[in-house]
Amino acid sequence: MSTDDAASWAAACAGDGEAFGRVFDEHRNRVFRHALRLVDTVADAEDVTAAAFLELWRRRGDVRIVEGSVLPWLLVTTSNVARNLRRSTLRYRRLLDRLPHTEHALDPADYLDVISPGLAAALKRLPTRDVELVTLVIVEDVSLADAATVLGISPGAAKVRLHRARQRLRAQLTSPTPVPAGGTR
Amino acid sequence: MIAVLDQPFAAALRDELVARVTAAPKPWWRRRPVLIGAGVLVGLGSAGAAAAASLHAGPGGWDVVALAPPVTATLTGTQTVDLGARPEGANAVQIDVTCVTPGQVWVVVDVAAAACDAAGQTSGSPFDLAPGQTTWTFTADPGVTYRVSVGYRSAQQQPWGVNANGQSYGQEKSSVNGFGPRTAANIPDLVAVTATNDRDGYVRAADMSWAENGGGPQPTSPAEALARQAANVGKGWAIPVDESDGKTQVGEFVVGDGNAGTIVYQDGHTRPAVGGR
Repeated sequence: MSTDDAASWAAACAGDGEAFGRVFDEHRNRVFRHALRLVDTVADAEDVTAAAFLELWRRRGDVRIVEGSVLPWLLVTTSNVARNLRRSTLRYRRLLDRLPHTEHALDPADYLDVISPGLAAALKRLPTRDVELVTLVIVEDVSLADAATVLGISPGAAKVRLHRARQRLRAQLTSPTPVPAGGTR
Repeated sequence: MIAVLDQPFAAALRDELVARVTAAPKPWWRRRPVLIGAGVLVGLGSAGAAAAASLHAGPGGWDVVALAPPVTATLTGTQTVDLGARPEGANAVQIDVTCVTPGQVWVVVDVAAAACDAAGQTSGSPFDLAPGQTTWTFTADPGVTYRVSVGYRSAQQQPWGVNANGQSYGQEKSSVNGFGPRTAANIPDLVAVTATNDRDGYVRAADMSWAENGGGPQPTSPAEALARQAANVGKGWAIPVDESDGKTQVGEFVVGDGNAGTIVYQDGHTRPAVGGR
């Protein structure tokens, strides 16, 4: 989490396009890798990445800066965009269609040594609010307190929710058949 | 392998994002300062004067009247302040913020505007209140301590004048802090400014548009806006300032960043800038 990030963000909010470009440069690959975990094709992950940054700008008045960084907010937004890909990219469809998608020889699975394929699959089956929390705390190493701040919940509630999400993940990772989200064993 | 965003896709997306941000309307605290050092648009962006009972007399000027003593508080992190009972006629608040510890505090209206981001830094401005609104939320980095003062105001924008030629003259119509759509309907024929020689007067709206758009018509695409911005580095744009008759010139108004090396006139002639003017 750099102070450069906060400075670039403040400058971007004041209309400095190149500063927003620096925010994009700093976080684009983290956002893209997170998107890859949540959708089925590389092209979809690219669209999710684009929509997340477009949302970052459109909703700049709502962005929560945590430890001087916009990354936690971006990752939560990425989760939300990926969860409802069609609806959330509708706003930006014309732009997304204009961006150059390279024909990808690689399957998303080829990329996914950033986390295990099993965890990726289990993540997709978690409720949205749990994906947000697990992504921040377990995958992206954001502190529980900071994750609670960006999600707008108390640290206590975040702790309880993370504990339950871990249990659910553990169950899914060790279960031969997926446990439906919200299901009990 | 470590996944990275495909380069051609990333480059095209980055260009789009930069263009969008550059082309977006600027928040109140940055929209006007490009003009500082060259002359100031009357009324907007001069928040420091808000403590006075009346702001900027003249056509289109604001009458801002304090209706109640301000609520003051020292806050940490994001907090909502209860402003108390809303007096009859209140439609705005004067907000002043001072950072006590380092970090960012934001006043959020249409867009986030940084109120302060370093210890000891202060800013103040009037803001519109929504109907029935009696609280104000300040967004801040966790742990940042800051002092606020929020006082109810009545803010009324005066009507424009009309000169003998039927031209309207005065300040742009806006919300009290300068936000608001810059539509043609909100801009008089002659816009109030203070010239580089400190004389008050008016510039033609068409001249102002020419100067604000870097010596041309409004760009039709973000790409064009970016290209023009790049081509115009180091230039300022000078336009005449007249009396309210729209004829008698009293000075000139320069749109530029204060570091301009060359001043360009509408007839195409140029001169070296002195101190950005």
